[in-house]
Amino acid sequence: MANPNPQEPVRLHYTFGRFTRASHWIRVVLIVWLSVSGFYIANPFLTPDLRFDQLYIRSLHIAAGWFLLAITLIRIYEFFFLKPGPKLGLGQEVSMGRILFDWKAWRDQLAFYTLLRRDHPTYIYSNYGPLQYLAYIVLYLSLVVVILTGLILAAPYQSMGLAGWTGQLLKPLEVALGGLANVRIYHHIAMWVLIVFTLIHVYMVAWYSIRGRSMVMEAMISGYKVDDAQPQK
Amino acid sequence: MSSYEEPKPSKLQPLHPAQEALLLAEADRNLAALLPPQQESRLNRALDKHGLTRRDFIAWATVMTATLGLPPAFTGRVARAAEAATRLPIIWQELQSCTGNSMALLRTANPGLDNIILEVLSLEYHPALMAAAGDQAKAVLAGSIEKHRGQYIAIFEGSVPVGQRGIFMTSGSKGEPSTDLVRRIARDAKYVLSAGTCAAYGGIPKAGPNPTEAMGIKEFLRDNNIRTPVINLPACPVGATNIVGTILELVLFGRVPQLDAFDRPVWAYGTRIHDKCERRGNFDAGEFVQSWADISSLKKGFCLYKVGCKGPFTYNNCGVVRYNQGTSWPIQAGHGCVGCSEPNFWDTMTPFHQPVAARVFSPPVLSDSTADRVGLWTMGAVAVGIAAHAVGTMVRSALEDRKASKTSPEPKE
Repeated sequence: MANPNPQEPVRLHYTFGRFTRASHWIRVVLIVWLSVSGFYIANPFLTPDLRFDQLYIRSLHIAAGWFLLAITLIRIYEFFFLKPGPKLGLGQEVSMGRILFDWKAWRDQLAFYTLLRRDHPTYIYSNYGPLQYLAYIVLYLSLVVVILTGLILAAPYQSMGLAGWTGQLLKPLEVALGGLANVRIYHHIAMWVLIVFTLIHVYMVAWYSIRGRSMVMEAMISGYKVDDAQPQK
Repeated sequence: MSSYEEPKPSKLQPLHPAQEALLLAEADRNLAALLPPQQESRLNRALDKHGLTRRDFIAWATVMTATLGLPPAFTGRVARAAEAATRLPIIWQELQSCTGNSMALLRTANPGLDNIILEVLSLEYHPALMAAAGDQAKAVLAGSIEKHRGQYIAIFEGSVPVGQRGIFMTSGSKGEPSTDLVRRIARDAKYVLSAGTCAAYGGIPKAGPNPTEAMGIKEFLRDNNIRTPVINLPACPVGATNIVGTILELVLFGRVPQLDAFDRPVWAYGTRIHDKCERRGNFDAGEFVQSWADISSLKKGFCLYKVGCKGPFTYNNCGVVRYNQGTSWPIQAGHGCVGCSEPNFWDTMTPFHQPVAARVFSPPVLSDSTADRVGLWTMGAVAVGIAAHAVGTMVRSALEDRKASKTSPEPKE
């Protein structure tokens, strides 16, 4: 139960490490830039007075894509292979997945979201609520789709480079999707999933930060959030 | 702005001498089996007829060797392969198509050497060209299959309509459905060439809603468990160079050339239109023809991406070999690529005069405008939901606070 009384002092708990916070904000910048430049590449409108703008914007789009790939790979590695530490957190995320099948957790969490209960439910085996866990799975699936299709689309522009190699590896996917034009559409649809996710994510964090008096919004900058005093089963 | 830098040398290395020797030996073996030396060929007679010299022929062979991506030592072999190719029995079957590939290849005022070679190929059967008709023609087909069993090349033009048990296309007085016809010809062929997009992927007959349930040759043969190797040569129409080049490769090496993921020969379909486009510089510079009314940009030859060029999504070598004896090709003529050598281009590349981002037609799920509309509506719905939830939370919190202040003692200061 997060601290219900605003007048009482709170205990802070170091939740997000330096790398987690840095990679979060790098990803914010990358996703914003990739969406903006992606829309531009699909429908260029600047005049040619800025010499080679299409080339530069596409190059920086592809470069940002490589950074997103690197960060996503690190995060997926952390999810699956990090050794569990003494505290509940990174390293135990796979086992936290059973929250998806915990019906009591679903009921409590949805009651909290629909304002039917005041206290934030906490779980002894998971940092995430069931809906939150599901949302992050969708986020990473769409990141994987956007990255794989992006690699296929970048391959002809970097045919002698790494993208050329990955493009060869991903040829069966290109065939399954029916050629580059369709690959581009799936790239576009996955981007929309990311945009809608971002919108919901920002609101949910702000809401939970205020309603739950948990300071999670501040935590992504400072690393500290309010300690959940008594986790309940 | 950085200064101009010399491009770095490509990582593509020339063929290793040992590899080259192996390939040469292989070609020599195949040619020796096909072509007895010093024999007067039909090709020479055809060249004489068209007033072309041996020198023209060798010049053509040099160009063809380079087009196929072979080392210069192959020039002589390619010339001999062209002569040997005229002995290769070929059965050309017309299916559900406009005959545009045959027409594009044959109806040229000044045929280039590619076209002459196609003319003198030993076409055992071609429904549009042969004098025979009806049962007589069917007898020729049956005879050719029998005589050259396992040796001939089957070239199909057009898609196979499998709907309604194949009644959408029948041939001969017995009304043989095209499905039976393709099975019969392909089963005993040495190789199958799908000439044109319809044969390769179904093409325009397969475009939605596809009333005849048309499909490409490769797909049809796979469904029917016929394992004859298939080489797709899509484009609308496919150029003479790509057909002749593929036949020459089959003659030279006696095996299927390296194919890409869509079973197209890599030497012809290895790069996109966009990668070898003469207007690529304009694309990177952001110099676009804004609309068809933008006459000054059109006259300057700016990039046609914004008026619908699909070159960035299309693999073919049109920009290199060109059409009509190498005279021109769509982008040179001032019209964007329509992506005709890609699967389902009629559905995936339309509208032809807007960027693919503006795709407004079917299928509805797979278009940018649908994705954008759904995405924006979802965002709107989410925004409304967020606002409602935020207001609800404020009201609820205020109520809870009032209740708390009534029931519990004042907090200690």
